[in-house]
Amino acid sequence: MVTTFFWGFAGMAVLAALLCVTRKSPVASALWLVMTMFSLAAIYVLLDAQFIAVIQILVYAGAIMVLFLFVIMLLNLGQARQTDIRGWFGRGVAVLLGGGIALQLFVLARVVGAEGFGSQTAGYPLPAGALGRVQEAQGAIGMVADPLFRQYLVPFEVTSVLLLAAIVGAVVLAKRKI
Amino acid sequence: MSPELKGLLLVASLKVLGLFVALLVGVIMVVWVERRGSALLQDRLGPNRVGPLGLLQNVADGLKNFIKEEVVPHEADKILFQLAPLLSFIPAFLMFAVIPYAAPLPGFDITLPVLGRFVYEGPVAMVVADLPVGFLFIIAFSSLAVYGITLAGWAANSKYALLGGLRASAQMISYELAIGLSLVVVLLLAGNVSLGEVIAFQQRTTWFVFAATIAYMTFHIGAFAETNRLPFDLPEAEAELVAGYHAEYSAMKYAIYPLSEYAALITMSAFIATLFFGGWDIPFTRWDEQVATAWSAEAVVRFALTNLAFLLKTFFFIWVFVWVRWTLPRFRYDQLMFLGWKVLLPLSLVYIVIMATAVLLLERAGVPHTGRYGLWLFLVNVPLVVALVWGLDRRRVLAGTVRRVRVEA
Amino acid sequence: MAISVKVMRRPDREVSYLRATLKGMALTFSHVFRRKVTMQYPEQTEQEGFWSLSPRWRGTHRMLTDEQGRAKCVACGLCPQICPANCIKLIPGEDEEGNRYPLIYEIDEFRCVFCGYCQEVCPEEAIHVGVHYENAEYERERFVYDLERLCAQTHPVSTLWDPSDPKGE
Repeated sequence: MVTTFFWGFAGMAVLAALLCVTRKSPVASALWLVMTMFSLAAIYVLLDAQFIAVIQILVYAGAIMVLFLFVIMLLNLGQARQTDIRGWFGRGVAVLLGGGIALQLFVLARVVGAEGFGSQTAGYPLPAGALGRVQEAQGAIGMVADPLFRQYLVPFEVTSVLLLAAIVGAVVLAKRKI
Repeated sequence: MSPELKGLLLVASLKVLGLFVALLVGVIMVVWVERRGSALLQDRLGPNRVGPLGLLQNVADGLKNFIKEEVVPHEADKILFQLAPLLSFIPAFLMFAVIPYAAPLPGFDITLPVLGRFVYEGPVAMVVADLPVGFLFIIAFSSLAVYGITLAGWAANSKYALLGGLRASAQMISYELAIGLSLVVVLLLAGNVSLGEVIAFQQRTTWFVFAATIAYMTFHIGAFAETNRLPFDLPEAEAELVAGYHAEYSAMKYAIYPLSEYAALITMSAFIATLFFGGWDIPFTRWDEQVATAWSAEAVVRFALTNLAFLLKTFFFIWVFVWVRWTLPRFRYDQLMFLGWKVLLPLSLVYIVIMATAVLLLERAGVPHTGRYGLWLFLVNVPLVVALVWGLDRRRVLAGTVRRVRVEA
Repeated sequence: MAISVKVMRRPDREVSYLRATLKGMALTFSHVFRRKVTMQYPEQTEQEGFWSLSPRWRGTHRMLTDEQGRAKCVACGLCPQICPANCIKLIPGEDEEGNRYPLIYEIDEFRCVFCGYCQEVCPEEAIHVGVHYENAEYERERFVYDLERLCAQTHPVSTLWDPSDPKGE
């Protein structure tokens, strides 16, 4: 049952991602990206990570993509444009990059486990239903918050400093006269 | 199929069906409340011809909208233009799924003639989906409602609609922040995002309107913006943008916009009632909190009374939405942004810090989660609210534009 | 150079947003209990103290009749002459005794601008504008009122503005 749903949503995610990069109209692309994010959220739910799923929708689909749309509309980029991938050179680069990523995935799959991702040799083996039990004990948020603010506190804070630097940088770039 | 699975399916389908029908009827009723309420506030009578007290007026209007001609502008993006009403309609109805609407009923073990045995263990929670993510689900899906509005504005290829859509997206993102941050306080107090737990905690201590008053204020103001109601109805702003984002829609596709707006209005009212006014909790009694283990008249009465309490609270907030609509004028866009980013956001941030400290101190002191806990939190809130009201009154928090604007010559 | 706006320092009770909002909420709520001004129109056409037709209202025409039931009109031709909308059609006739009477007297109420000049100019006080407004018809032709129909109207006639009694006392 879960596997069936997984393949359904995974297929949907891949298809939506493909449509996202192939659509000519930026608005359509953005909407297909939203679709991809939804499918990813569904996969998170299948993995018992409801909090991550709902944050995925809230932050990415609900806030960031709306901002994307906002910018697309403000800049009047709504109409279809010619694609950037032009001529033999462009196509060559595209194939090379795509092939590189595919190869990477392939190698990753080999390294992680010969039998596939579900096997015991996978990177982070968890007994079946382990996440569900943790969630039962700590709630959907505690499950994420606890390791985030205890075990991984320093990386978390470093990330927030990084984001702050990015915000300051954006303000400096956008506003010549402060 | 096992009897347990059948019982689960029965309960789930009954709840989904019941809630969907109740919400659809509720939307019609709310439109009636809005129209008759507006009339009351304006010394009029309002629609009173179709059906008893004019209750069927909206059915008549719905029928009219069904048989009207649908117009799609020539230069519109056809697919998105058709899609946008759905994108606005679906989240509005999905959001209600996580709100509990009554005390749980006991489980059952019945055998029906043809269908066989149905078994459901334990109390049946009166909520369509008691998700572990609770109110985050509502926030997530209310943030999706903006797609319907924004895309409607863009797809119509009309400048008024586009301006409405732009305003909607900027406004809803801005106020989501204030709403989300005020919910952090609720999370701090209840320790859980599941709405069932939030209600249970309020029953043990006190309603969060007393324990987290400023969070309630921020949330309620944000709710006006999220539902695009006056005084924040800038996406529609019929005086300046014709009708804003749905200016180009006609017939049923137009009707879907008010429909989903009112569905969101009901959900927001129910959400406020649940988060800050104890949901289906009946005040001053512990009787409603007992969980029935077997079917009895008492269990049914408890279900009915708690459901009534929930409906009354929800109705009160719907009425407040209508009431405010005919009292306050529409804000200017810069005032809207000023209020969202420079008042509500810092206010809720400061409030989180204060409340977190209070909660931490109370936990350290070992105060149990009873009425006493609520009383302490209330005592913390009183000076804060007094200070806020004093500041508002003395124009420390909000001030006229004259003070802020310096015209550069 | 910055233009600075002089800000008047006014007492808080006048400028407080909070108090103004609360006052406004109380005011709107008080309207719930006030008397409603809606007039239930088809059942109720007048409401004492709120709305009733003025006796000076200039609505659709009416022709007054004498004791024998004949129109008072003597077909003098003054009303079609003065009518600014040119909506009165009058063809005079004369009987054996030399009395003039209208052979055809028609008023096109669609063209009429309801100025009331016809009533003012009429020497016999025959044609009047009436205190009446329910004129709906299913066909356009029905809006041309002939003499018979004008005589058959029963609504009160308009009391036009009188310069010697400007307030209508």
